[in-house]
Amino acid sequence: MKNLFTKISLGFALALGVLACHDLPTKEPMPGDLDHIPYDPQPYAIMKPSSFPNIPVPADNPMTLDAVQLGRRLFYDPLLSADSTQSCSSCHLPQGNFTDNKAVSIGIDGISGRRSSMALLNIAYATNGLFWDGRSASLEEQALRPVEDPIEMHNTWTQVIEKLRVHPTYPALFRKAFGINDRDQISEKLAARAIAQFERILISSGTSKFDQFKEGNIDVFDEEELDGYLMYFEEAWQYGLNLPDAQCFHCHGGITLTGNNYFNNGLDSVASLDDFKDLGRFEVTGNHSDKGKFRTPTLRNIALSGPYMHDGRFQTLEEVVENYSKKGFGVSNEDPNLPLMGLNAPNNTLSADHKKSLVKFLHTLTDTVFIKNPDIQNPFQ
Amino acid sequence: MKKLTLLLGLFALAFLPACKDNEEGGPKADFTVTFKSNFAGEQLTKYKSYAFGAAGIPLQFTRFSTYLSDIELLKADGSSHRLAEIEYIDFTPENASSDLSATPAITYSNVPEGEYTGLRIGYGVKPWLNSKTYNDFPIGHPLAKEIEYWSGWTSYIFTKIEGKADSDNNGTLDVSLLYHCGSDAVYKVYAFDLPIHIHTGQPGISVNFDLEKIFTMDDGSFYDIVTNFYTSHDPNNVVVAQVLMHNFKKATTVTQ
Ligand code: HEC
Ligand code: HEC
Repeated sequence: MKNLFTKISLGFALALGVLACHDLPTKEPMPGDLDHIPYDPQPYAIMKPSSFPNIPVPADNPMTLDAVQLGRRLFYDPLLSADSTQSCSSCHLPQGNFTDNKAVSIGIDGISGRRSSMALLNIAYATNGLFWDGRSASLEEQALRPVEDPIEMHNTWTQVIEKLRVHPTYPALFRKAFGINDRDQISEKLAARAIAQFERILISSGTSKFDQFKEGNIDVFDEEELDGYLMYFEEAWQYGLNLPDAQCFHCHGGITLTGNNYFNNGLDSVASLDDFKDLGRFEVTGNHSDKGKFRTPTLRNIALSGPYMHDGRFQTLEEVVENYSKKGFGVSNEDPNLPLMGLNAPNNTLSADHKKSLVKFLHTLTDTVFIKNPDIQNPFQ
Repeated sequence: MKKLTLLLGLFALAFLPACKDNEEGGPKADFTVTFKSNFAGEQLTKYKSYAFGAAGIPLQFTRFSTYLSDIELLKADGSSHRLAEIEYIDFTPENASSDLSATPAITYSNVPEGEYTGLRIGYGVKPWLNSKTYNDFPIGHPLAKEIEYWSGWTSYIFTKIEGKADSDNNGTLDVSLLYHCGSDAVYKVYAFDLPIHIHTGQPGISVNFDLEKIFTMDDGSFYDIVTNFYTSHDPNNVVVAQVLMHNFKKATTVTQ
């Protein structure tokens, strides 16, 4: 017994010694250099409001406590960008509902991208393509892109992996997350998996005014918020009220208010579909009638994530609602819902009061508990 | 021990009918059902102008999807073989590279070979499934689609037909058509008589939906889509949805 104990202690000490050596940056990792670090994956149960749909998790990337923590670190670590100035969180900040609150994002070289950063709240539910045009199929695949995007982090994964392999803390974290045996096994694939796991925990708290209302606490809404809600979801008949339809829920529907489908929601008056400055969904499908269509983003926490639309053209929710009230421009692929905006109102048009109520309702979607959740904040602060 | 045997016995008893089902002896085949959408017999194409009604007004479609429940093969002896409990058929999927409608083909395996006399289809989501919501189904299940559920009606949206029409034929698509049918009241089950031969190597069947016929009344007249351009959001007013779900029967043809 004593013998065994000595052996274990000896092994442990040796292992520690090896670890100590490798704590110093080195380019020559030894096979099995991480084996001494315990790998004991514990499942991570994503918290979600009970009314929310089940969260899709790919079978080949099961959620674990250690991988989520690793992903969180990587997400907030500027090490991922070429000059170590930018992390994912530079353009996806918690207080902006994981956007950067800029019209279009700016990369490390000061070059402006053409599109606005997207909210990552409830991103786990985005199963119909990621990005405004849907060009990325999964969070695992998406996470690989910003690093090498010349107008974002402008780095190469080869360089990032080099840095991670010689880093004082990352090799052990990768071991704990994925059971790798040595630092040579750190790969962009594993980094992307960890980031994706962290992104999957970015789920609403279920405490917004809107959620409280949905749980039956109808008094949380004042009259205008209720009107806005009833127009948005077209449920005025339930209250015997006569309010126009705002058609919003057809596209931003369900409890997550996402929808994930692609539409031309009436932003530009173009003579031909080819005239859209950004061809959107067409760039993915190659289908002419998809020109100028974009994915419907979530409206949860929308008051925190302006400016609005793929190019950040609207500063305020008032401007957004004003634009919808114009019912589009008659462009051929505009969604048929748009001309019906304000249906059943006098002249089938939303009045100033209707618009005000809609905006007030959009503010009830604000979820400050989510953005203050300690589990999703920058671990370096 | 005695108790255990009893339990086992009960267990076996409970599964007896199931066993019998599995013993639907004889050879089994893969059987493919292809779903197609047309307008006046022509494969549906999004954004294409079709002439509709007596006045031939231009009409376009932008979306057509539908839920189908209990798709069953019928036998002469009155029994049936269920191919699917629920399917979501999307003729206008968003990842398509052209506007031509999709023709989803679903292959069912282990279908008993033999001669069948018809096909039965439930149009929409059958009531006991419609009493559930997207939360009740695992990811990837046809009924796990949040956007196809209508909380105001506590119903799935059985079918979505969307498009635009040029009511006065002046070159402007001035009418939006927004037909979202839902609620138990409009769920329909229709049967189609035709000989269906199922043997390995034999072709499957096609189920075709003709949108023109969905807007054609029993007397052959055309539905007034200009007046009735959308399905009401009031669940007590399913007048338009009733008409369309009724017309689905004559809009359906099954061929082998
Ligand atoms: C320079 C700013 C910037 C940086 C850095 C950045 N992003 Fe983004 N992100 C954007 C923009 C802009 C978009 C939308 C781009 C588009 O649609 O073409 C976006 C989109 C996304 C989306 C898609 C969201 C959706 O709803 O489809 C995800 C997920 C995402 N980013 C995650 C990340 C991760 C993970 C990182 C770090 C590895 C990162 N981003 C780094 C700006 C940035
Ligand atoms: C036809 C479908 C459709 C309808 C109806 C619709 N939206 Fe949208 N909405 C979209 C799409 C698609 C986008 C993204 C468009 C883009 O960026 O180019 C969007 C974007 C938005 C945004 C900006 C989101 C962001 O993160 O920048 C807001 C806010 C918004 N919609 C609110 C509403 C409200 C309120 C209504 C009802 C009055 C409504 N929408 C009706 C499809 C729709």
